Amino acid sequence: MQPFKSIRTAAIISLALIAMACKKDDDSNPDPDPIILEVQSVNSLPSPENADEPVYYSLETGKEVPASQANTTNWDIAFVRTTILLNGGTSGPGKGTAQVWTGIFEELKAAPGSGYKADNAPESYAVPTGSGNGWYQYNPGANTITPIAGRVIVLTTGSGKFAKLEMLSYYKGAPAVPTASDVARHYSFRYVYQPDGTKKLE
Amino acid sequence: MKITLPIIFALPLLQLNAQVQEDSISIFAELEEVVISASRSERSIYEVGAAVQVITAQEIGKSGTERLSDILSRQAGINLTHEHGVGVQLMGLASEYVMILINGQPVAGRTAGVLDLDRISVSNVKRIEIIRGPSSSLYGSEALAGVINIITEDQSIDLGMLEVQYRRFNTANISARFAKSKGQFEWRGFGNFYGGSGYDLRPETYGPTAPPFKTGTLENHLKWKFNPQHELSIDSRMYLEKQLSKYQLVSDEKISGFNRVTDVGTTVLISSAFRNRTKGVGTLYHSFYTNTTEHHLEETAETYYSDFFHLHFFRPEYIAETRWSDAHRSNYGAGGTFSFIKSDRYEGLQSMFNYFAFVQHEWDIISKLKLIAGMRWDGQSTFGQQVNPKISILYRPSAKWNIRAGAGTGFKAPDPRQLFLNFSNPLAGYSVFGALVLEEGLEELDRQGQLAEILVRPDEQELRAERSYAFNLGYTWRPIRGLSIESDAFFNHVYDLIDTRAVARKANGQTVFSYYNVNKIFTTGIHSQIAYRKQGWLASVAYEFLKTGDYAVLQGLRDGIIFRRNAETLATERVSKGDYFGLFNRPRHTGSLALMYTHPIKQWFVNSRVVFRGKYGFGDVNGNQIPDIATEMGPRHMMLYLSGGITVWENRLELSAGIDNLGNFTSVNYLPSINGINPWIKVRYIFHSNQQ
Repeated sequence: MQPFKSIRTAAIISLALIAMACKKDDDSNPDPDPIILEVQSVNSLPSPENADEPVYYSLETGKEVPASQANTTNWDIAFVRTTILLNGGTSGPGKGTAQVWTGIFEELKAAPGSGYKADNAPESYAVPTGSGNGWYQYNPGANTITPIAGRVIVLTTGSGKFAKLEMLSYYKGAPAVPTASDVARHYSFRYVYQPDGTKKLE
Repeated sequence: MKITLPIIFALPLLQLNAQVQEDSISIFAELEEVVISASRSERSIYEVGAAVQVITAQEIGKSGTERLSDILSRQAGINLTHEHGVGVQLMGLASEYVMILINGQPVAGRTAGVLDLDRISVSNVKRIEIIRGPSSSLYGSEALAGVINIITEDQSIDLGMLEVQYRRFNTANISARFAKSKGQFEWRGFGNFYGGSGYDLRPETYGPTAPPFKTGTLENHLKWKFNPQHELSIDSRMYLEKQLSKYQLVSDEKISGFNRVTDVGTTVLISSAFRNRTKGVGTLYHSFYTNTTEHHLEETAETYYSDFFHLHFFRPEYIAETRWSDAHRSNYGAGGTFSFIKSDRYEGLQSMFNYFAFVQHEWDIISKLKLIAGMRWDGQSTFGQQVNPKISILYRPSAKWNIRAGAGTGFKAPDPRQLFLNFSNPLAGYSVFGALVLEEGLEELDRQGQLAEILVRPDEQELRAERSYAFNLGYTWRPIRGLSIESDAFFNHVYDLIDTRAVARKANGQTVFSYYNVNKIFTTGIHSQIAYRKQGWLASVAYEFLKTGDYAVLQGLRDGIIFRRNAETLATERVSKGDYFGLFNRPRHTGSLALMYTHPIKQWFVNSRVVFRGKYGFGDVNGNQIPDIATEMGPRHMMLYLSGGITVWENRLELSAGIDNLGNFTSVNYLPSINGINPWIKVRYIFHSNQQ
């Protein structure tokens, strides 16, 4: 048994060495595309006093856009209560469309080629409204709104650029487990914006 | 010491068997182990193919438990739920799949599928039989998970008993029982009051955790043996309950109100024996159940919430047993049930009819091998027919072994709520319609201009019964006198589970829901018990391992499409298969350990019990509707019970006391039904009206 055992050990060791060597080779390959888009985070974007008025936001500049510019293509996404508006269709003059993609934010490397919709209020929205339909879930017991895990909004901005966005919270301070006494209509989300007009989102 | 022999044999629970030698007590214990629920006629516990557990009056009396919920909570493998009353899970299957019987007749009146076990007093119980495994082949709908049959005290000797028990939170349980027989007549009466002031585990919030309550039970039994072959019985049972509530809304308004439940059941039975081969029982059973809730704003006395539910349940039935030969016997029967329901949540008076026939045949193929096969046919006025077979094999290679295996199916008919509910929430604005009233409901909403879009056409899917198939395999081994070791493994596959689904969108942006057959689940596990009795000692260990799951979730986990939100980063992450804890509210491990000593002559006793429940999925916090992280788990816990008692005055007076939850375990957030250390005292007095 002894010689057999040592032969097997030797084989295992050599296989491991080969594997390590190969791995090294892979690592030394230069990355053909070093540009990595940054993930932007927005924490607790507050909505106006009047709950019926949207808060407008530009993914390109990473800033809130005043409501006076609602009729321009300066904004990309807006929030009013649990409804998300894109700058297009019935909501704005831009090229805004969206679809909801199921999966992990980081794993979405490129925007899908088709399937985008523009807002068509009040019949339908690019991001479907209602609990469980689009980005959020209403929890009747706790009386809270929570974003559904694994829902990524893939969208085109007012100027037609691609972006992906994940909603993180509907409450001020983005508590992990919100309660009904938390202040609502404060939007936290993260997104990746592709300025070059391609569908690549990483 | 003037007690007559027949009394001794008929009244084990009353502790009258003082002068009986230890040997005859254990013989008696074996004689007692008879069950009726497995075949609808009496059988020794060793000749049924099902997994049966029996809780005796003695165990109930010495544990100081007052309600069915209390005694069940101390058993391994039985998990109680506390929503819409106290519900029971058997083998991880919810309360709506467990049939609760009193003397073989179903207890009517469920709220959201739950039959409140607090409604049932155990002060007049002879034994409780628990059958794990589908029993629809005998009992029809609802017996999908199993049956809990409460057999009330049926001794017919003249006597009376008074019992007063008092425990923490001003909780009193007062019972009286009388029996009298004369010639062809026999009468038994039982009355019980149970009430308490409730308790408050969160004094900082308005309103108690458990509100004050009062309940009353009256039972009456009259038997006339008008000739040697026939007897007529009339049983009635009346139950009243009132519970007060007080709570505060999120909007700070204070609400108070009450909930009232009444349940009146009457059974008329005629039992006959024909030429020593066939015995038959014809039954007419009627139950009237009402449940009324009224809540009002304290400040303005304006009604905040109110509802009522009235149910008439009427069942004529004839069941019989024929012994064809030494090797063959059959139990069979037929009948119907008529239910009439009136509720402010249903439109008009709703009715349902069900007619059924069943047969179960037992064949002793050889002396050691027995085959039990049965089938039941159920026809329904509301949704078609059901056929449920069951087959078991019982192998007894020697007196020490009993090996059983079985397979069967179960079903649960859609309940009235799933068929007839017509409800719109005035505050939130959504609507829910039962399957049979969905079409009208949508039309009505449309007429009122409240309907925006229909997502599923009402005629697209017909609501079917929920169904299951199940297997069980078990043994009982009695290697030496007094010791019994048993295990039963089970697997249940339940499909066509009914759940709500969105069917339409309302103009106000809210959703219309209705009921559909969607889910498919499994529960599997193993239930084991070791018990040892010797010279007044009883030691037992019981343990149940349970694993449950939803097939759609398992598929989703395999496909990698179930996610959760990380509590710190709020980012989405993928749930791995190993993180899924199964269905909510199912502990994987439950167990109990009991040690009891009763002095064979003097009858004093001490009783101790530890009940363990492992962690379980409590509620979803990370948005994926499954239990998969530590913060979604309810706490594992242990409860310790101690009690003891003495009998004095020629065994006519029994004094006992105990402490429940000696470790003072509480968990306000997870288990508000557990109210901390809870001492009690009990006095029981027995008298004989014909004592010489």
